[in-house]
Amino acid sequence: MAEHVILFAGPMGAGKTTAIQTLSEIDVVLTEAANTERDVVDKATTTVALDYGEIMVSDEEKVRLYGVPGQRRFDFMWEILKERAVGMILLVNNDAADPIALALEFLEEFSELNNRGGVVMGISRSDVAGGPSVDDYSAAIRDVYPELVVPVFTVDTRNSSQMRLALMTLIMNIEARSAFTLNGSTAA
Amino acid sequence: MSVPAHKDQAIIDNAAMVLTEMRALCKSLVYAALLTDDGFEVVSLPNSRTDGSRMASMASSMQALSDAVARELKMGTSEYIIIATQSGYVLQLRVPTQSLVLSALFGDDETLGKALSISRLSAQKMSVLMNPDAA
Amino acid sequence: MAIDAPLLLSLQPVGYEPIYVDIRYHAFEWYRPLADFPTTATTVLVETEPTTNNAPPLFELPAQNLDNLLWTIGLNAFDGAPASWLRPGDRYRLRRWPNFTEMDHTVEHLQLTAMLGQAHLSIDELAKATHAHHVAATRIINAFSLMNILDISDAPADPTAQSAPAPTTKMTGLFGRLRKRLGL
Repeated sequence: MAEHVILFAGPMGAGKTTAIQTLSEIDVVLTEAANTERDVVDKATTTVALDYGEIMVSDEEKVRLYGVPGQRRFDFMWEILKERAVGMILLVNNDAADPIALALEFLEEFSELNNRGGVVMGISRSDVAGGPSVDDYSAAIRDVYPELVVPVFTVDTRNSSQMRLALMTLIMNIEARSAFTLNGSTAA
Repeated sequence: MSVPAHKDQAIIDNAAMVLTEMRALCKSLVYAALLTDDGFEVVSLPNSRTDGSRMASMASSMQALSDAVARELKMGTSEYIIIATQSGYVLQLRVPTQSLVLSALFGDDETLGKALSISRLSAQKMSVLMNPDAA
Repeated sequence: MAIDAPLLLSLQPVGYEPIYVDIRYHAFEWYRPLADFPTTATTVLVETEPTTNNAPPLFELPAQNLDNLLWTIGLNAFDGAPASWLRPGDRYRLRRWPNFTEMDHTVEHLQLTAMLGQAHLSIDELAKATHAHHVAATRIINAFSLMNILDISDAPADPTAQSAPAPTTKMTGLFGRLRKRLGL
C-alpha cells in the first residue's frame, strides 16, 4: 500500500490534536496525559507521544496524519516522526506570548522537512484581538528564510473545510516543487 | 489549582523514600524514577549515566503508547511495560490510582520475575503513601 | 508602522453604495457582502482623501481585510487582459501566499499560486506549467499584483524553469486523487 505521512507540529495548545481529529476518517489514536503545566497552557490534557489519524485515498493508498507533542522535552518524538514525513502542517496559536518566535523556532526545528517536502502554516485563534497578522508571519519568515514562500492561513482547527484547504495546499506545494526538480536538484 | 506532583515536596519526599527502599531490596537496580503522566520527573535515584528529565519524557511517551495499544486492541489497560535489552530490563508501570508512573532499569543479573515483583510492590507503596485513607 | 502617504478611498460602482477603504489598516467596509461586488462594472467612481497616521479609523475596526477586495477586483477587472500596469517581458514570483481560508477561491487558484511560489514565471509560462487557460493565469497575476504580493523580475527566462517536466516523487498525482476522494 502506498502511504504518505504528514506531520502536524507546533507549540502546545495550537490545536494539532483537534486538527487531526477534524481531518481523520478513523478514530484518532490519542496519547493524552493529564497536563501539570496549567500555568503554561490551560488545558486539561496534553499529547505525550503522538496523535494518529488517516485518510484513505483508495484501497491501496492512504495519507497518515501524525501529530507530535508540542513541548520540547518530547523532541525525541519529533526526530522519530520527522524521518517518515513528506510534509508538515505547522500550527501556531495566535494568542501565545510570542507566536512569531514560536513559529520560527518550529520552522528551524523542522527545516529538513521544508527542504525535503513542504510546510504550510496554520494560525489558530486568530480571532483573538491583538495578535500578529498573517502578513506579519509571512514577513518574519521571509526575513529568516528569504527563499521560502510558506503558505500562511488563519484556521479554525475544528473546521474541516479550512483544514482540508491546508492539507491540499501542502500537497499541491510539494507537487509543484517536484515539478521543478531537474536532475535531482531544485531550481529555486 | 493544586500543586503538580513534581513540585509537591511531600510527594517528592515520599517518592524518594520509596525509591531508596526499592534499591535496598534489589542491588541490581541501576536506575529508577517516579514521573508524572505528562513526563516530569518527581524524583529519581542518582545515576550519572542517565539524563533524568529526558528519561521521564520518554517514559511518559512509552506509557501513553502502551495504553493506546491496549485500548486499540480492546484488551483492558496496560499493566506494565518491559523492554528487554542485552544489559538488562526496563520495567515501567503506573502507580495505582495516581497520575504517576514508576520506571526502573535492572541489570541483567536480575530475574525478570523479581524485578517485576519489586516494581509492583514499590508502586503500590507509593499509592498508599499518596492516599493513606484508601489503604 | 507609519505609512508615508496614508489614504482613505471610496470606490463606488455605478448603482451601488460606496466601498470605503482605509489603507492604514489594510481594511475596507461595504454595506453588502463582497460576493455582490459587480464583476462586470464598467464605471467605478473613485475618490481619495489624504489623512494622517494619527487620525481615527474611517470605520469601526477590524472591518474586512483589504486583500479580499483587491482579490475580487483584480480577478475581475480588465476583462481577462493583463492589468494596465503590467509590462510585457516581466516575470512574477509569489512573495507571500494570500490567506485563502478567508477568500473565495478555486482549486485552479491553488495550483497557479503554488507554481508561482517556485520560480519567476511569465503569464505564458505559468499557464503552460499548470495547464491552465491563459486568461486564468492573467487574472491571478492581475489580482496578486494589485495585492502587492508579487516579486517582479525583468530578467530573461531561466532555462530550467521552462514548462514543467513530470513530477519526480511518489506523490505524483496525489493532489488529484485526494481531491477526487474528498469530493473537492
